[in-house]
Amino acid sequence: MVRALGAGPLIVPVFCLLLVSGLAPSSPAQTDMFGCGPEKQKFNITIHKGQHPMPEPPPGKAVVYVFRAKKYPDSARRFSLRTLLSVNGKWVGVNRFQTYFYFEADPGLLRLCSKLEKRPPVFMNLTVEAGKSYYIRQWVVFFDHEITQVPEQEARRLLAKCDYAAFKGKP
Amino acid sequence: MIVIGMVAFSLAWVPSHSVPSEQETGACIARGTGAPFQEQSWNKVQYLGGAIDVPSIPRYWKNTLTISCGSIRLKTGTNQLVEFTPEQVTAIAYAGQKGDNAAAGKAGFAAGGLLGLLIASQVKSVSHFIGIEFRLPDGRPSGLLLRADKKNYDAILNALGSVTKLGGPPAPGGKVH
Repeated sequence: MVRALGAGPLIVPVFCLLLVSGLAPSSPAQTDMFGCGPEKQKFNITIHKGQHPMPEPPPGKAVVYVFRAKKYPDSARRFSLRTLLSVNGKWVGVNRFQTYFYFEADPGLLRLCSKLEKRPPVFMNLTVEAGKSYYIRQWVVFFDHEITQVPEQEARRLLAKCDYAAFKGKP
Repeated sequence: MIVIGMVAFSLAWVPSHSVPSEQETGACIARGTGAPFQEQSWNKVQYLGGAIDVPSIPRYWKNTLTISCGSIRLKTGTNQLVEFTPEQVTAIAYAGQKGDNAAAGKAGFAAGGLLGLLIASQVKSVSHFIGIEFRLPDGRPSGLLLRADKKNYDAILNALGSVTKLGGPPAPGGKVH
């Protein structure tokens, strides 16, 4: 049998500590498994028609390509809805219909959050290794918005039909 | 009387250091019941990536997650096995994400066109995301992301909390370290 001797006087300071810790600013999205980028951030997107930069990973890094391709039915294309992607809580790119972007990443676990305009986000994890390229597809059908990893051969064929969308976030 | 009382006390009192701990017995305790945790398995789980060279299959639900005191195993639709021990787990997180019900939307559109779609768009469902982060044997961080069913997400979180001793289950959107 365990008796909680002297626990009473501890309750008040412990409660205060919990209260203070709850009010303290949360740690950055780096530690949040389901964190997306900031809600109110603005972006500049420039779509380069006919351009297809496909860089190899620089030493010690991985490259991740993210695209929305024509192969899959995409009911959102007429409305030019944007699909945003954040990595570890930071927006890294935006796609419209049949565009792609890429980003470099350090080896390790990437927590991806994809968001279709104001819709609820969807999540995916990706563990990347240095020197490798990875391909992520965003797609929108009816109410569905998904992201999935695509094999390299299939992805490169689809990427050839996409335009490069350069991304610049504004603070 | 005094002697009887002393004997009774000596029989009843067990020094805490003589009680074998969970680690000593190799067992883990099921949260809430206090009984030894029994291996549990679920076969309606989506795998949303995370393990090295184990891609996910879109909308594939027939992955099998098995949790026991000694291991956490995921067998994916591509017949690949991801396995690690509860001791390797560094964090568990849960997020309940409310959104439109895609199946209802399609059914509504098929049945009643745009009007059916409009009505069906009011039907909401909750996606139950579960994140498990762990360290690989060489120390590198890795993690699994799962989408559980409404009928099993609670049990999965409880099982993870039981075998990893990370506390929890985490509150919606919360994380247990």
